[in-house]
Amino acid sequence: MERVALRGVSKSFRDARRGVEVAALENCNLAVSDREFVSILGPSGCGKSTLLYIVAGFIPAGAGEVLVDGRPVTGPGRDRGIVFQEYALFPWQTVLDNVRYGIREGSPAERDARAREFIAKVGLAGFERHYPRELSGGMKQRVALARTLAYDPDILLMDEPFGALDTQTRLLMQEELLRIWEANQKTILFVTHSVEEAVVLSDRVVVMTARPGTVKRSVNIPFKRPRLVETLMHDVEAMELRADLWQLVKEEVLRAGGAAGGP
Amino acid sequence: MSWLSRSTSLLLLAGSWEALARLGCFNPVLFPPATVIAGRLVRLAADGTLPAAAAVSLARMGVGFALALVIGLPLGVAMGRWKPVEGFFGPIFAFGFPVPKVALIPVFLLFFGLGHASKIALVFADALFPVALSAYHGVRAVERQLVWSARAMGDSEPGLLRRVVWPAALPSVFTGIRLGLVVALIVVFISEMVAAGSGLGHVMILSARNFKIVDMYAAILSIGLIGFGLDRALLGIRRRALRWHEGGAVP
Amino acid sequence: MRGWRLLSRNYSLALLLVGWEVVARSGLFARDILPPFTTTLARTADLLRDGELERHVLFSLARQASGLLLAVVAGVSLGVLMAWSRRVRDFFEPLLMLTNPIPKAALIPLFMLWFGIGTFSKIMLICAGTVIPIVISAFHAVADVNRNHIWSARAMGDGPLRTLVRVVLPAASPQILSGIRLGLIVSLIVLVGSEMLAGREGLGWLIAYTMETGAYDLTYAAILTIAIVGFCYDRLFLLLMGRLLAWQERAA
Repeated sequence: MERVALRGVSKSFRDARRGVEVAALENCNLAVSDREFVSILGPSGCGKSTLLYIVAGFIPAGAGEVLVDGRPVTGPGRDRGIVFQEYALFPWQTVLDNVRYGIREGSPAERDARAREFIAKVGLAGFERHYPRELSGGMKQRVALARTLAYDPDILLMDEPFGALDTQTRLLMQEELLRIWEANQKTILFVTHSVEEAVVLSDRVVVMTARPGTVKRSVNIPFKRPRLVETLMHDVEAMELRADLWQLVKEEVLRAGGAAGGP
Repeated sequence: MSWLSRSTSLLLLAGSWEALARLGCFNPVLFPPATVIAGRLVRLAADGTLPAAAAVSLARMGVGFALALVIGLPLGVAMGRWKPVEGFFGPIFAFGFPVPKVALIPVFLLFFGLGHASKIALVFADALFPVALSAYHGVRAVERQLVWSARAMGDSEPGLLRRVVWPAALPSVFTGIRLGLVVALIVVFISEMVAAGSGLGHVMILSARNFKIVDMYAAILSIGLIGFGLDRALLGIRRRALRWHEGGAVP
Repeated sequence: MRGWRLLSRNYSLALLLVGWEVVARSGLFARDILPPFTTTLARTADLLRDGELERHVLFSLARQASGLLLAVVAGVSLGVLMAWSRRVRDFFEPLLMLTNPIPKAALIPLFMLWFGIGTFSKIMLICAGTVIPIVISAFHAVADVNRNHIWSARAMGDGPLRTLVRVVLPAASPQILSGIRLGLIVSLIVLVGSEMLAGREGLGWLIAYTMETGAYDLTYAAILTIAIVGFCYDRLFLLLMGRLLAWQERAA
């Protein structure tokens, strides 16, 4: 069953300063099955975040169909949880308040307990009363993850969630995500510019072209789950996959740099 | 957006003023039509009354403001760079900033008399604080990496101040200058209203007291125009000085 | 000892007071032009004793607080509306841009004419004088709220109103509060100025009256009172701000 379907989706933006229309996406077709982990991979500026935001309902598509569970997307909703790269947490609320924010069912005591449960799941038990400004980058992202998971949306949309973290934290977070995904498998659409990350995490990698972005290739990742980050680091087949994917992306990176003559 | 649609609210305001005044909704003495006011403004401008008064007010404000800049900016920078200076002047500025210096009008009158000097002194006293404080904050906020890079490239203190610290602090400084201008304008007209023989503030309050209402409105309108003009000028200067600023469109 | 630390950190202020006392007593200026600090203190105590000072302080503060409160409610509402709706913004923006630079002093005779010289007139004046900067700062504060915060809330099922109240306003509060603080400072200037020009009570009136009757030592006492009241008022506001914004990231 297709949970997310994009057919012929295009989107352009107005560059106010230069007075022209810039095409961000052109004729994108994508289908995500139930409980599939799909990564969207591509060079900077290829429109992958835009695609995600369209699925999330934050931006309307310029043309084409966007369907979630067979119904067109008209706006944001609780069925599609979002995790951003930065500024996800409300700085004026404690960790507990943040995680509790999305939980709408149950008595106050139940909501509280559930929030604490998820805070513990991401390994931050004891930090409930802390403010975001007191946390490191990795900790903040874990809280952001907990917040989105806590109200149990079926579909997770993640926009380069580990992009702002240092390498070590990043690897740990990838492991954490894999672990969480094992526990309750959701449909995930994951935007990244890192080939390694895409290979480690996903069932399928969708490579996008440079702007205007469209789907270049869809590559299946055959590794069985549960996966271990460290094992895949040295696995030969994984290395080949990474090399192939990088070639695909590299073509687009060069195309983007060459055609536009720089950002 | 077209010029016409942008001015909708303004035209509506002027239009309704005119209509209400002519319909006699309010006391016609207190509420003359906009066109009558505009007419009087033109006449008083043409015969020199308003320009003369405006010149006096602007001169007083200008001198006081210039003094505030000349003394306040270096002082603020010094407070930002050297702890002892901050230690001495900091408390004075912290205490004085929220105090309405207009309360000091009597003191200035006693010391400087009824003439120009007391008004200039008041403008200076009021504009000094926001100017100096914003320079201070601007300098303090300059990123350490910028200063260290310059030091590593061999800059000594004077060069450092001129080429790194000052430009980096400029956005904050302009905010303070803008606030200083606002305050200076308020204060010069208040002081002229309280005790003066010339200036727009004096003209305004004299007209009010003699019930020459239309003249009063004309004076108010000209004060408004002056305020608007000066603000625009300052924004223009700021835009040019901060061309490099990443903020892009400065509000 | 805490007293010593307070003194050593503010030694310049103490020096100024001492300087004042010394210069006043030195005979450099006529006694009535510059009464010494100690005399001023004594006069202030006198005024306090016969209840005069309280009365005027209360009048002034009540006017200022009412005016500012009205301006905050109206101003923040309009600012938020302008940031939320393009149409509202396009309508009001030219008006605000034009009226913002008008020196608020020009409003004084205008309001005296329209509303008289009593307390209502003063309250209206203070409201009118501070509302526009507050609108502008509220507008910018809301417009600058990080998009991701709003989107996060929407994705969690919050409607526009809920997002506004639970996310946008808290996120915009630092800038809004800064705008209100500046409004507070401007309002004190307008308050004292208008009381000096017309009226029957208030600290500004006290200054003007004592000046007219030549009781300069009382004038200084009134000025000292205003200085202290103004300073304390601002400090209290900053303290409140600090409490409300304790969650903020420590910048420079």
